[in-house]
Amino acid sequence: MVSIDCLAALDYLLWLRTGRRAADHLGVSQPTISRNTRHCTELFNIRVVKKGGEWEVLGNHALLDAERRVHQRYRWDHHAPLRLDGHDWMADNLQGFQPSGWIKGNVDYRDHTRPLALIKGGIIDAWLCSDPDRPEDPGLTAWQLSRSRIDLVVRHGHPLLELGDHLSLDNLGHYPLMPLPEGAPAALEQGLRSAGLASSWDRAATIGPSPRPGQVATEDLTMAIASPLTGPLQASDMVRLPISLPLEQADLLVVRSEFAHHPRTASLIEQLLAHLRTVAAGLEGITVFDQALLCTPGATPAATAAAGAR
Amino acid sequence: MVELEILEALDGLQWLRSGEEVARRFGISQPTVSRSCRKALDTFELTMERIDGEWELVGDATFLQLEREVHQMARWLGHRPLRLEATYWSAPSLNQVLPHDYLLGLSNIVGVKRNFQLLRERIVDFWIAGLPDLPTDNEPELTAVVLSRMPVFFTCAPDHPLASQEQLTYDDIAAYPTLALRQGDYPEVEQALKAIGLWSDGSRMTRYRRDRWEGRAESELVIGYGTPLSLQVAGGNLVQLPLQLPFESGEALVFRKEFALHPRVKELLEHLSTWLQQLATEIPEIKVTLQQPVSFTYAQTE
Repeated sequence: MVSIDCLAALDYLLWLRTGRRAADHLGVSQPTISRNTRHCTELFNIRVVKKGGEWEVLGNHALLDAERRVHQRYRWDHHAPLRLDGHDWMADNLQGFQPSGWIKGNVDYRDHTRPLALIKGGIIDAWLCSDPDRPEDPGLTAWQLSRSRIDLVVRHGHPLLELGDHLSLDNLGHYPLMPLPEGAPAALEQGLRSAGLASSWDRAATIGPSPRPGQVATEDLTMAIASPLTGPLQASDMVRLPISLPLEQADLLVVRSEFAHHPRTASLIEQLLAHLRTVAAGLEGITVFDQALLCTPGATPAATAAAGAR
Repeated sequence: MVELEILEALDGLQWLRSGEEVARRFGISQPTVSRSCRKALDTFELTMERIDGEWELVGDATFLQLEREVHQMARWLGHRPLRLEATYWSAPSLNQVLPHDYLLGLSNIVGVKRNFQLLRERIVDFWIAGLPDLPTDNEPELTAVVLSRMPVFFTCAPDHPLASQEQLTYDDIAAYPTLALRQGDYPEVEQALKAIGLWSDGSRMTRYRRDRWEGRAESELVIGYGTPLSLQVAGGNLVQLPLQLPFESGEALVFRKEFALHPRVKELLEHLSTWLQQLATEIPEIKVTLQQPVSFTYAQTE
């Protein structure tokens, strides 16, 4: 119903949030983005409004969705650029990563609702996230690329560090845990709780009152979650607690199931694995797989990870 | 991937065969038809060849077919008229009652195959088919609602030796050449007639032409077939013989199963019912099987 370029303008806007980024990524002018977007909204009789920082499509968009499916299939099969985005967790790891045949988005999502809607709707083609946060959706397929330890990190001088080798999981419950990003790793949070962590803690309680003179600020006592690859540990003055948690995380590539075995998915996986191997070189507690593992729906991440270890 | 009016030109040519008819039906100029058609072919990396008078696509039509599905959805949502093909005997009166958001084709396609193909490929949305040839198990995507029934009888020219007989048997008829079409055009009709030794004199006709059907019965002493409706439309001076064929004809609405519960099917069935009731008052042999208000089951052909 519309040309490839015309629908791409609308989709890039919905995906990348601003006309400017859409124009930059598509290599066209902003007026072209806005003209094509208007053509799409008129033709498909929809409206797009920005809500909470993201564009939302209002009206009956069944016809638009149907047309988009055809365009998506077309770009996969005709070597046109595909669209990749990832969770905020991945942002540091993906810096400088520019897979051929793919366009990388903002990689700044803190929750999963939006990116999942984008990938299910065919607005983006691949989504990088971490287990235990794999989408349980029969229309989506996840490939596991790596597995890594989950660490707790604290500021230098934190009382827990003084315990040294005597540190046990029981000690951790007394200290606040930095809230997880809104909407993010629900499964991760659950895992932490079932590990006895933050059992008496809830998000609101972590924002304590300002310290009086002589008291230690709550934020100085707060523990945070990190993986060997994630930013907080590398970039800040924080240090890893010498304790191992009964939890693991995995990097996942999610695509719509019809593209799970497409050669272009295989090519992206290959490029991602090579990149992750470079990033992980010399780091402990992370394993980048030789070959990505197809995640079986319903299986626990641990089971998948165990399969990967074999 | 292409605008509605671009694919309309390509689909229009497949359906109506000539740029002139496409231009007339879709209200565009002939140069626009050919320009749009070329653009559609380029986009989908296809070429088109005329085989037996029909335009056939050459190449991998996967994406064209995916896009046709979207455009069909757009038509059903009201962005464009729905496309309807009919029989040559039903089209003239049908055209007078059809709502403006329906486009009636030339209604001259001979044989079930091309009509099924147009429905299957989503070029046409509805086909008013003639009984008894309806979609079989070979067309699992299609369904039919029987609308009316009417008898089929033999016809001949007024000066034919059989014209004066008061009583006839199939053997009497079989002594003369009887009109036939290409093998497989109407499998049910063909089988029924062959079983009584008829269907012998083939006419190679892919689109209905009166001179090659009723015309031949008039001028060549060939025995033809007709219904009250076909004789009214194209009978000329053909004589109706006092012998009926061993099956009934009538009208049926054929469409893709996925639309069975769509409100627009119900809406069209109501129009068709009104139209047939009207015809039945003029031609009492027509029995309307679809009563108003419409309450039917789709089990009829399943």
